[in-house]
Amino acid sequence: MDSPGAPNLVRREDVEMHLMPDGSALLYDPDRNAGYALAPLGALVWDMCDGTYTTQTLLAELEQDLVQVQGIRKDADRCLSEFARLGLLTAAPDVASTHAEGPVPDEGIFAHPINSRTSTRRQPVERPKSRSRKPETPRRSEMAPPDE
Amino acid sequence: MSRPIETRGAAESIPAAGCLKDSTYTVCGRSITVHWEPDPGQAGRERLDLLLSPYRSAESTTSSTETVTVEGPSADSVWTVRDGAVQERFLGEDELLRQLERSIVAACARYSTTALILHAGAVERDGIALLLPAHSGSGKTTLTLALGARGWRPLTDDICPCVLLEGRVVALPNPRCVHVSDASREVLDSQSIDLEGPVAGLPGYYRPYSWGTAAPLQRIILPCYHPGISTQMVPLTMAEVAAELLLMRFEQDLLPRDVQWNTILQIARQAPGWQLLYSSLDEAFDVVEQIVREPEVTS
Repeated sequence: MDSPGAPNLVRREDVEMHLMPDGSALLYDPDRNAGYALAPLGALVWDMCDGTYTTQTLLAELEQDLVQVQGIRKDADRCLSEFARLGLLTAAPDVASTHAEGPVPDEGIFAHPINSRTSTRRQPVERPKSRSRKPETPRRSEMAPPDE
Repeated sequence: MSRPIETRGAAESIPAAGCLKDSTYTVCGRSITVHWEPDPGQAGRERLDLLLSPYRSAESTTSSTETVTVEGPSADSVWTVRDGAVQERFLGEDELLRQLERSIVAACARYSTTALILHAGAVERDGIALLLPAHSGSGKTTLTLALGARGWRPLTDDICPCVLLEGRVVALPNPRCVHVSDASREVLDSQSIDLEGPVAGLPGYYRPYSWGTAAPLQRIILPCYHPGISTQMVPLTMAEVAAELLLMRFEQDLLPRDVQWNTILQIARQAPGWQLLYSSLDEAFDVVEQIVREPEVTS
């Protein structure tokens, strides 16, 4: 049960969702120039973050409507946590948002001139060594400059 | 920090007659002129021309848009590159050439209006293309070239221009030199993959003897090499493919975002994707062939 005054879940309006023919969906955060892949459940949870539900009412409704899906509450809760952590919601209780990290610094053309050996180039997000086949958790796919 | 190297569209006029101190290169439809000042006995310029020979355009004249000026070397072998008000210095001719080659290709990609440019290898066979997007160190270049052992011809090993043609995304060839380590060369030798080089005498810079031709993308394979790992292929959702391509795209400052975006989404719809974990090239080849035989999707 939500604590009294628990905020309703509201997705950021500027974050785009693109539904794909296989039921997966891509979220695009223009502020961070980042894309996140969602499984169908993640897309559904995102769609429900329209200000109607609190965390608990959303989870309860999913559990009730999709009773045949095992572990749906846990997976949906994980989705909400990820949305909140990535700063994709305007109201996200109990989860520290990382949305305020700021833009990636522009580095210019020459990455390694001799008078500036220390690159400020942002490192790409490392791929997990083994991919989980539980893609309900959005996978961060942040833009990074190509490297040699 | 630095002002980017300026480019001009390939459609703009390129003077036929040229100044001996200038070389113009066109990559992904954008051109950059390198002006050598003072003329260093032509050695540096000739080596850069060798490195970038597939991109060589008609000579520029001094009245054309000179965008990068190379000066040097100084007594201590330092070269200076002036790009407008920005000045960069490089120690030794080899380092100058590496940085110029990389910077010219990267700057042209950045200002290209090609629908999408990806950090990816790509190969073509029988009119279909495989895209191999990956970060450095994943074995992308080695796998891209080694697929030659199964009849795949390289389109590129790292920068793949893509365009939309009749509703399909087509990968274009980009015949940039490939950067191959000694270890990779040994692996390629074992597959009887022969390379030309070192190009311009620059260690690690090679070029395939033949390239593939433009072809529609049919499969996306994310290669990930780990010594000792058993070969696995993990299917990706369309959204995962799109997110991966978003990660691997070049910033293209002159291109509306929607163009890149729509191209990425179209690729995800038309070309199923897999992550390929491997430690054995022969096993990887088999998996790639298996992936190619999978039924085609219709978007």
